[in-house]
Amino acid sequence: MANQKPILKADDLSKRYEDGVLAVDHLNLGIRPGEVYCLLGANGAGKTTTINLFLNFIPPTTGTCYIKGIDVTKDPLEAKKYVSFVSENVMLYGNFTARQNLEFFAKLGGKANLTKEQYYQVMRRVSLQEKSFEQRVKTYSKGMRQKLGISIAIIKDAPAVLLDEPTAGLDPKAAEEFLEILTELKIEGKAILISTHDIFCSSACSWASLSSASS
Amino acid sequence: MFGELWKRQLVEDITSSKFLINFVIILASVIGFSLLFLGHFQSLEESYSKNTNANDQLLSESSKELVRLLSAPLEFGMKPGPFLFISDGYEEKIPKGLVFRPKGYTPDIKETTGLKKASSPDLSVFYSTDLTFIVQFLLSFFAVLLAFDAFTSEKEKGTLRLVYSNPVKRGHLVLAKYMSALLAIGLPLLLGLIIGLILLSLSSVVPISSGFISGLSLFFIISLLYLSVFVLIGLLLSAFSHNSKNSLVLCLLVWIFLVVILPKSSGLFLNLKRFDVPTEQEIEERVRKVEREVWNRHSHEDWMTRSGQDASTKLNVAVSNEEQRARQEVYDLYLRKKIGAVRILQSVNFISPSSLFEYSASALAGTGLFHFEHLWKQVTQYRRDFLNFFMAEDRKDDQSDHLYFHPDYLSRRPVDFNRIPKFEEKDIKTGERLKDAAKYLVLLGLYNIFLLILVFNKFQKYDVR
Amino acid sequence: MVRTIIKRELLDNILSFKFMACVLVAIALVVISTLYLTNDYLDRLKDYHKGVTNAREYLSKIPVYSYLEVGIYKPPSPLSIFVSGIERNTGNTVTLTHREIPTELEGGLIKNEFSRIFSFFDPSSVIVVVFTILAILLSYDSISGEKENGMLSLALSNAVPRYKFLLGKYLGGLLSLLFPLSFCFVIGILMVLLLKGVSPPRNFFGAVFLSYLLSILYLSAVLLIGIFISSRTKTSFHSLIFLLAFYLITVFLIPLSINSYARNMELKKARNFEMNAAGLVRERTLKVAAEREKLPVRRTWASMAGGEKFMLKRINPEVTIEYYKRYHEMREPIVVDFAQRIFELKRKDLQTAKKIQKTKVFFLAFLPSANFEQASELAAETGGENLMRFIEQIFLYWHQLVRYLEEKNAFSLRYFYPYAEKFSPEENDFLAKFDDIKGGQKWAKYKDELNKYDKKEFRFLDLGDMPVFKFYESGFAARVQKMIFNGLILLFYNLLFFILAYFSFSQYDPRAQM
Repeated sequence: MANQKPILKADDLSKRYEDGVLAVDHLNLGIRPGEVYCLLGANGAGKTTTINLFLNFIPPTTGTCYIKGIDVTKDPLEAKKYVSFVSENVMLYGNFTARQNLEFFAKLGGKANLTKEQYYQVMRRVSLQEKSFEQRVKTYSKGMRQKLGISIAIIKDAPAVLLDEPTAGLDPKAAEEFLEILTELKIEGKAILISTHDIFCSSACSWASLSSASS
Repeated sequence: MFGELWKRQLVEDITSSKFLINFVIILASVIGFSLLFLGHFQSLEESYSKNTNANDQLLSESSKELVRLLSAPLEFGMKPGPFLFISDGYEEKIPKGLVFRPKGYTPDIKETTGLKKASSPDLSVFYSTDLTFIVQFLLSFFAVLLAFDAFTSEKEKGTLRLVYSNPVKRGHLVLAKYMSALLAIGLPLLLGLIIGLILLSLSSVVPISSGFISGLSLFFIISLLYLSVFVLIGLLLSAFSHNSKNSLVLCLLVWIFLVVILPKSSGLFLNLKRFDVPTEQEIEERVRKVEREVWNRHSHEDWMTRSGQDASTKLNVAVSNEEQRARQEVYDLYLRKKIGAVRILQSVNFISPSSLFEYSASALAGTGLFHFEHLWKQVTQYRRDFLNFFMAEDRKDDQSDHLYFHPDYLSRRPVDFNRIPKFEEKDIKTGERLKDAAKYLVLLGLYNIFLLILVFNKFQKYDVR
Repeated sequence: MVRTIIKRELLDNILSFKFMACVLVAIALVVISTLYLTNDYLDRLKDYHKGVTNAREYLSKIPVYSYLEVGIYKPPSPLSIFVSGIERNTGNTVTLTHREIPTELEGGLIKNEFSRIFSFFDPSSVIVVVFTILAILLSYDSISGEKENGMLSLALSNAVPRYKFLLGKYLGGLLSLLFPLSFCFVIGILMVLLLKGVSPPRNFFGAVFLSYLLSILYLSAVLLIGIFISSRTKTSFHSLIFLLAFYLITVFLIPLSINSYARNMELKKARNFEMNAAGLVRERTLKVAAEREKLPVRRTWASMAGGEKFMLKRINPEVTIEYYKRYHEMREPIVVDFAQRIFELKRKDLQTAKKIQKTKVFFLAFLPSANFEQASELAAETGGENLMRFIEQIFLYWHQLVRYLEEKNAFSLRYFYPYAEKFSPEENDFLAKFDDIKGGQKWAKYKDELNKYDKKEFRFLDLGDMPVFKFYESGFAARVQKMIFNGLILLFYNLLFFILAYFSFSQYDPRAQM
């Protein structure tokens, strides 16, 4: 897979916030299909900022992000077709069931006309309990919500996956289950970017980079 | 894509507790107000027909001698119609009609009358009990409540970044939120209107015509236009805030300002010189001055009546008529000034969408000031018809000297009561009512467009993280 | 312990956005409304003084008793700047004659009847509208919000009894409200006293103090209701929705419905007057006409200008004078009698209105905001109750006036004849010239001659010993007494909701949902 073009690419990426903090300093990375890149670091080291730059939530100070060769600032709508996102600590739509949440985001991601069974499949894959599929998300624990978040990313089936602190708040067993899924995705050929402070997560990574709060 | 956003939003809005409370309160209010209205309308109709009967009785008594018709003071009130249910137009507060006051020899329209005044003034309420109030107050409040956390709640739940990690246009979410809120507000309103209509027609107190039903439908559309403003305000303030609590405070304060404070501030300007009208005393002085001018113009002529047919008598009558016309002009000007002053004050309120809505509903329903002006026009015409009839009848009498309108020289024959023209107020045509309402609706529409553009713009740069 | 909680609560509130936003809005509104209403009050005061002076002047130059009109003016109250009540909407004068007992005020600065569709806000409505929202915003998440962000478990993990926590919350909220409230009151009073130089009457500070107490009682009740609701609902959001709905319903909806229902009732019952008054007036006219036929002298003039306002024309033969003397001696007592009968009719309606008023006031007292509004109107004496008292005092004065007229034998010669003596022989000759002209007069020709006589000195009536009207406002104690019921209900609400909150909170689960 090494000879393929990188799906997630950052060229000389920098971000300095208005208050002067330099969150990202000339970052260069390229993630090919089947590769997992970990942004390791303490809190406040700029990991989430990198992900936000890829999603065009904030403009870069210098440099560019590419998803599947598309400049995310120039054509964000096109670029977002090829990326899935797992956000940290999402509450999701509390009054809806897990399946309804999944269905909604699947459709947003372009995957219409899936059957209920297909949704259930994905949720089983992330080890959510059967009985909670049709329960309202506001009754979920933190760990369950994390899992649901991951299943939302899986069902979109995009070539790139961005994960922001995916194991924060998971107990060791759930974290292990997550690692298994991560490996599966890697084998499936997805390009994965993870930001985390969990050292054990990096065992699944092909690449990793350490950063501290000041750089 | 957009369809998904909208569908999900709609389901969420309709299953929320906000919506439920909204629904219950609106239905309860509409039903309550309908019942209140029924009682009120009945007494209004009774007093109106009593008034008409009193007029008829006066005419019938005076019909024994033609000349006595001139001195019958008739009072014409505004006819109560089912449209009062839609908009009260503050008809309880403004003068309820006009008086034919024979002063001198011909009836002139001099006074406004408060035919059925509330005897203790503090029972007069500052808001009227009609559908307009329910929409203006309650529904606008709920519109704001539905929209205030549109963006902030999604941000707080983290779903906003999830949504925008997908190829979704910014504007789509705005539109989805907007349409869903409008529907969530419009549905209970529609249901409430239908139930109100059913209640009214069941009671058989209020005459329901197709005109009324179409008026009600137009009112529904106007209400949506008005409520849309508040949904947009909620969305706008939500796009300015980063958490729901701040957004809520802003929305509540803005609502209080636009719906409670602003419409209630114009009363503070009442004493400005600009809105001054002459006092009754000043008007009487002006009338006397005008009379004296007429006298002076003819002072060199010999117009003091002596007897019967001679030239001086005729001249006297001519002078009296001139006097009468001059007087009527003063009274007309006075009335026009009063209404005009109020109109100008109303225009101060145009910044508040709440007042715009109130005025347009009142215009659509043909109540309030509009009603009074139409009544005035019709009474003026009636006066002309009445006098024409009188002159025609008098000409038939050979005994009469035919000097209009000196009571000593006119016919004393009895006249058939049934032939005397009676005043009947005609309904204002729909076209006219729409024309009156048009300018307010245009302004409301502009408000909407302006806010929509603002919301779209503001949300483009909204931080979704 | 409680003090720590209070301090924290106070600081927390004062530094929050919602507090600053609401307080700014409240202060701005109070300043604006006080400015305008003070100007309005000063205008009304000017109008009042002008009226009183004019009335007094008028009374000094009355030639005949038929012209006697006593202009009575109701002084505007400076308290109406804060609690406007109905003062701005009603007139401020009655013109009293023996012919009619008035039941309504006229005049006032509202010269345009159409302008009654406009209303306005005053500082007391700022309290009801803005401060209530602030109280709700401060209290809706007092319990549930603390639970949600985990602070409640933290707080209760210390040795703090629950009721102390509750007390701390409540007092903290109350103090947070007290600062801006007091500030608004002080600003309002200072503006009124210093800026425009209004001189406060006797009861001014007493009434302001009463209003201040009432506001505190009222806002405290709202706060406690908010705290109670906060301890009952699952999330802050639910309690907020509930409280906002409560706000809408109790501040706007229900008072409106009760008011219009009361108005409907009153309109239905108040038919007696309109139905029978016209009848009575006709009866009076017929009776006077009938009695007139019995008089020994018939009327010789064709028509007089107007009914009562007699033009001071030269009246011809003595016979005519005698006729009119007998006529008025017969007529005016009948008029007085019918005035009373017509008033009796109206009084029945007034009493029905009063009864309906009382019931309405009673029911509205159970709504905190309406309770507060009513009570402050009673304290400021600017409401309907004050108007009714004024009218009743006028009624008593009318009787005094009529008795005075009867004592002075006013319904006789001096009712219409401006001279103490009869005509001199010269004048009689002159007037005889007019005898041969029937019907109209050649005024123009004889105008100059007439002017000579018109300029003769009338003898104006000496009204020095006529009783003068004085309006008595209630003293401080009387006002307190009137408000007692309202105040007690507010106090009751305070106690009730504190107890309810206490019981509810003692079973409250402080664990946050995670």
